[in-house]
Amino acid sequence: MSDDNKVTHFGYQQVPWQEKQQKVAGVFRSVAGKYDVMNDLISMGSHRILKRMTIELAGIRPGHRVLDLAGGTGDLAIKFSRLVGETGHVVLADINDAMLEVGRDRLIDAGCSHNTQVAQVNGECLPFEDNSFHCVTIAFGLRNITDKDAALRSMLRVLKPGGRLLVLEFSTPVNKQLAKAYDAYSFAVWPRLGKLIVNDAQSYQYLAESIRMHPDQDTLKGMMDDAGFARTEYFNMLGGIVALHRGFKF
Amino acid sequence: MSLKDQSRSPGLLSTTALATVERAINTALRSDPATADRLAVHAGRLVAIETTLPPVAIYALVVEDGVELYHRSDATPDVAVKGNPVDLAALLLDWKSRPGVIGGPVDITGNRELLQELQTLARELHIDWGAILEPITGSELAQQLDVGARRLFHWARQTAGRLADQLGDYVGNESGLIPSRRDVYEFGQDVDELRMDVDRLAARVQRLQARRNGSTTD
Repeated sequence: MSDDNKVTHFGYQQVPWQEKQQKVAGVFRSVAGKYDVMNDLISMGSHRILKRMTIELAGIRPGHRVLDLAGGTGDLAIKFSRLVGETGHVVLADINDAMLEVGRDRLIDAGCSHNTQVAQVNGECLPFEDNSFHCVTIAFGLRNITDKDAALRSMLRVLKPGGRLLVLEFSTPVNKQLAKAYDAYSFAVWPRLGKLIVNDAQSYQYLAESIRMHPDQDTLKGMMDDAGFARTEYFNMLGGIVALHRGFKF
Repeated sequence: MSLKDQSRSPGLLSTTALATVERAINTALRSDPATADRLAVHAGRLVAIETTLPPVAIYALVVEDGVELYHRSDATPDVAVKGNPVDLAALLLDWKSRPGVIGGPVDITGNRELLQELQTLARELHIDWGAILEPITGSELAQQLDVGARRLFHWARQTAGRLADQLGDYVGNESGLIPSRRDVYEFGQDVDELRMDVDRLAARVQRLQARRNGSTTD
């Protein structure tokens, strides 16, 4: 099937393959200014703890080069900038200009401009040389990429041999009761909070729907294996509501 | 870090606890700009603190606006301290030490000067537990908890000091497990005296042997 006829999901909707990117961009442009506040509210602050756990598994050392993909407002990039030190380098990358603008300002405010770079990129075709990063992270971003397989292959390409990819993403709760409670919470509360804080309920309806359309833990692990990652594994967090996948390039 | 360690799932509770401690330290630093400035000089330095029982490692990265705490790090720390929790607390928080009881051996590797400077800063820093708890508990309860926490730390410090004294006295004087300085001195004197007696005896034996050999030849 040609790309013109292909369809993909945007939340529960089926949309032409090429349209998803623009629709996702619309969502993030709408919420960029209050993205962090909304994250704190809907996750009840837990996203910060989950990101800390991601950093701990990233194995960053002084001198490393790190790509924080879909890095948005720069939460991870700021931490990485401090861990890689003067001799390292961090690239904060996102496809969305509005998110990047917020991220760039935060990097400057945090005193991290000396070893960071901001780049507007498409995760499916990363504009970086082969074997150029020790670590690639993507936190709550893979779900929004149209061609996830292409993105995983692209991430593998830019990783140095021995480098690692960390994917922090919403996933599938392992307990049915937890899944029910989580469904009720996310579909009932998130759009209302979105309406209240950023005057945009639809973006948070999309967020809740897109999570359900995202591959579960084992499927994503299989996709990483297929892309060529080695020693892939995942860690369930908050009972599987979020999972951290990790894979290495050898 | 071994591959086995790297495959261990990070714990949500321990990460939350560490984040809370980090927040407490950074809040205290924000209310004490002089200490914060002195700490900022060491931005980029990594300190590893490892307790032997339970086996827990904490890595403290000094950054320009405070510290960041992690459970694991692949970087080589500038200074690493390792010991049991009581001995580490005695070292880092300046508790009263008593060799063999509290403040026992702590393994330090790396930049000792850096450790000393950070110890001094840590002792001068007053953490406002009330400010941290206020958003959760409200100001009234937070204030009470802050007072309670200060009393608890004061009590812990005094108790540790008393414990060091009492256990030290017991171990040193009553149980006889550890000799006092005087006992060691007297023992040393006895050994010296014995050594000299043995030397004298050896000399006398040599002299007698020489005399006996002389009479035999005669």
